[in-house]
Amino acid sequence: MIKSFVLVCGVALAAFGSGSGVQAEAGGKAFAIFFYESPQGFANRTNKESGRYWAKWTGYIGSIQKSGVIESGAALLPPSGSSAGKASLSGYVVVRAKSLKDAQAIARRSPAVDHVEVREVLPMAQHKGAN
Amino acid sequence: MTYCLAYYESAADFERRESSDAPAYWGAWSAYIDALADANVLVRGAGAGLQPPATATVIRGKDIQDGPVVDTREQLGGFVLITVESLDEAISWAQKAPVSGDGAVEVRPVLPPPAG
Repeated sequence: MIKSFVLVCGVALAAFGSGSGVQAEAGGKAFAIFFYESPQGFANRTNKESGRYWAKWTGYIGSIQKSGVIESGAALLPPSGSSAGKASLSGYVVVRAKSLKDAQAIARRSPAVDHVEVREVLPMAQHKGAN
Repeated sequence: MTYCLAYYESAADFERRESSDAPAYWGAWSAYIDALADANVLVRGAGAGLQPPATATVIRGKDIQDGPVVDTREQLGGFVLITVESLDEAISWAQKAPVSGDGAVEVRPVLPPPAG
């Protein structure tokens, strides 16, 4: 299901789904990839680095969308208040991959961040909270 | 506005998932997610429960390590996206989450789409 936010070329992303109706690769497992950025990383979203910052992220997310493995994702506003220089969650994607190694490979291609955490998603029993 | 609610849990909380407490643990989360869905605030297909932190991998540049970032006691257990009228409403939903006293919920706005 395409989410309400549309990816506009070269501009900021919000929440997005699997793109043009391409079915995520059947089988495989769902992995969540969480991106953590330092305060400088967040600052680059709006300072003079912003053109480069968004170009890299749009390219990265676009390439995952094209390969049909993305299930969902969102970019997050930075935390309010000070994080004392520590990295904070900046966004995430949920992708479908055959193995943890494949998911890690996707994670490693992300633009420079403080770090990335890859975690397998629970195979939830279907209930009305799921789609 | 759309917010991400990220649920952080302690090691003891994660252990409950596998213990005799498991039905109560999962029952509470199921009921909470259903409540979000019933209130029409849950963005469907966007959230996920996560496998425990021991299954995590952390990647820093070229460096890959098994296990989560260790300098925090609480670890991500799951997250949802909700669409609500205000931050107060988002916080109110965060407070209803069945996280234990050892846990926390982080409420963070999702980047809005660009104008034009």
